[in-house]
Amino acid sequence: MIYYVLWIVSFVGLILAVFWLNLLFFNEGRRIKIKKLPHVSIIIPVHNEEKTIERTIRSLLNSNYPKNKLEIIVVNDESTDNTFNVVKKFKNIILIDNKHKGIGKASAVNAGLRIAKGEFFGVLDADSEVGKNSIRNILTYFSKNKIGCVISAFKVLNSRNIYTGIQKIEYAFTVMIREFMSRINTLYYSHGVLSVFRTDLIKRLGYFDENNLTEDLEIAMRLKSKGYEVKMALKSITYTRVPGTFKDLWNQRVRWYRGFLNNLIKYKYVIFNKKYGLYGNFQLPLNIFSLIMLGLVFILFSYEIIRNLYNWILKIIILKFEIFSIGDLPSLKYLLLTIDIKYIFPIIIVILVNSFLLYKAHKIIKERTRLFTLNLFIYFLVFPVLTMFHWVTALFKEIFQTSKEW
Amino acid sequence: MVKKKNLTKAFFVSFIIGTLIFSLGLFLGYGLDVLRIKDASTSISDIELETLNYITSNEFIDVFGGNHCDLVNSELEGLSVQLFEIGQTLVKYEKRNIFSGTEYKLLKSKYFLLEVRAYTLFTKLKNQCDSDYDLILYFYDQNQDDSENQGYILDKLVKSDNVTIFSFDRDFEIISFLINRYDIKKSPTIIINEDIKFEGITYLGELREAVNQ
Repeated sequence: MIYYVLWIVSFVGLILAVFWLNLLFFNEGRRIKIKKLPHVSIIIPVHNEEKTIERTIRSLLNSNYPKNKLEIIVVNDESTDNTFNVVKKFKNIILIDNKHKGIGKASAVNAGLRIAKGEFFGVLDADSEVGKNSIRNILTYFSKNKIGCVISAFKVLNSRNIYTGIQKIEYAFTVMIREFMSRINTLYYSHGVLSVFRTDLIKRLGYFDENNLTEDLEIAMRLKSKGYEVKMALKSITYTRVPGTFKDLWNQRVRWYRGFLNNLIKYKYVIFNKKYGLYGNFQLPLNIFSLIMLGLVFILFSYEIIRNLYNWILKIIILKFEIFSIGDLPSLKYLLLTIDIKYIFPIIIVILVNSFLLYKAHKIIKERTRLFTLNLFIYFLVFPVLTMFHWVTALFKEIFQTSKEW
Repeated sequence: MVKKKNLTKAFFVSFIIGTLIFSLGLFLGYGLDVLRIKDASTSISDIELETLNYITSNEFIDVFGGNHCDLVNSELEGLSVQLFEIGQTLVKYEKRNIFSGTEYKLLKSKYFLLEVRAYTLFTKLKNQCDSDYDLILYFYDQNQDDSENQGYILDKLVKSDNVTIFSFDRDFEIISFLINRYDIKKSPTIIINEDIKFEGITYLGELREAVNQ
């Protein structure tokens, strides 16, 4: 059973990988030359971010976007630390207090959006920073009115331990996949590391959903459901800090995946709906299929690992450790002939395809690629298992509707 | 945005490339299958020759006279180890097979019949010469963990004790006469010297105790 699933997963994965890579030969999204820079509001929702908010604001002030056209709105969402005072010392920044009403940061973003004067507005988390050209570049991707949102290409700022190290690899991968999705117009994500929206449009669509765990995903899916496009701005590089502990990573992922499940249900009518083109008929079904396959592979692998471990221990016990005697070493011919191609081949394909995609991803966002690192090893072997546990927990929490907080 | 025509083309190209790479995998699998079948056939032919040698010598003595017990020598011990190992290898190879199911069934049938002939001869020699070697019949199910573990135990036994093991896949119709005679109902089942029967996984200690009786 397990090798049937392995072959299906690796076959579909290989075709998809080649398909994605094929897209690299096509031009990326059309960009326009902006003659007159528009007014842009950047909304930064903050909740106990005294350590990072200063750098976030400074990165905006250091950007090459004209200061008279850049409005920075910091929305303090009931911080109990020194965040308020840190922000207060900056001049020409709008600082407002928001009473936490919703379950996500949407309430804070909406508070900022209500007073935003810019033709466009961006959402920037307080643990993120923009590059010098990020804002200028991201606006060039609004090449037509149908584009409702453009997201930046983010990199990891704090790559210090295993947790952040594997996320650095993952983020490179994510940026590349989102770029591919953008090219075939199936992108349905926005994020807090600078996503820029048309102000009027989002107000018209009813602001951000304040009862949603992942309001950034929800708004992008809402835009898609209304026929708008979401684009990826590869030339707009931004930086973010990622969770550096197991607990933080766990909480973040469970929240993301709960949000995904929630929004998938909310916009289920899009799936296999001809009206939504590749987004509804290819991208969403593919993501659901991948999720099911991930679950199936996880269950089957766990079963196989436990079964083999049990047999191995039993073997040691029944053979009284004679299993380790040198005389039992198999010959090279025997090793070759007992290769189980049914398992080995799809596993090799999965590893090769992922390695190549990873290499490409690092090249695309101009990050250094290091082979054979511990992080890479963990990313390939441990992270998928951890991800599966995140999904299972998210699913469990969604079914039993446990409390939702950001 | 990428045009629909280009997308279809990209998807078609990807499908072709993916299929080609996977065909390579299947081809590799087929190649390994061929090598495994060849290896198993060679091993069975070798053992067949040795067994035939004993059977022929026995028939010769039957007709022209001589001492049957001369056939019981150290080479017989080597033969018993080989017989068991080929059985184990066949099981391993068959589990990894992709395309050659029928060939394995044929090879295994041939191997089981060869074992039955050897078992008949060895039982005759043991009784005639009052030899102290032990004859073990082992019935397994190749998709069962207990049978696999029993295989490891017997592998140890055959290498350390003066025993000859004849292993049989109980799902093979060709050995139904053995299944009926020994009333085999579950796997693994072990019959020692036509006398002691063990059902379910049996540990080394128990087996050693039984063969030393």
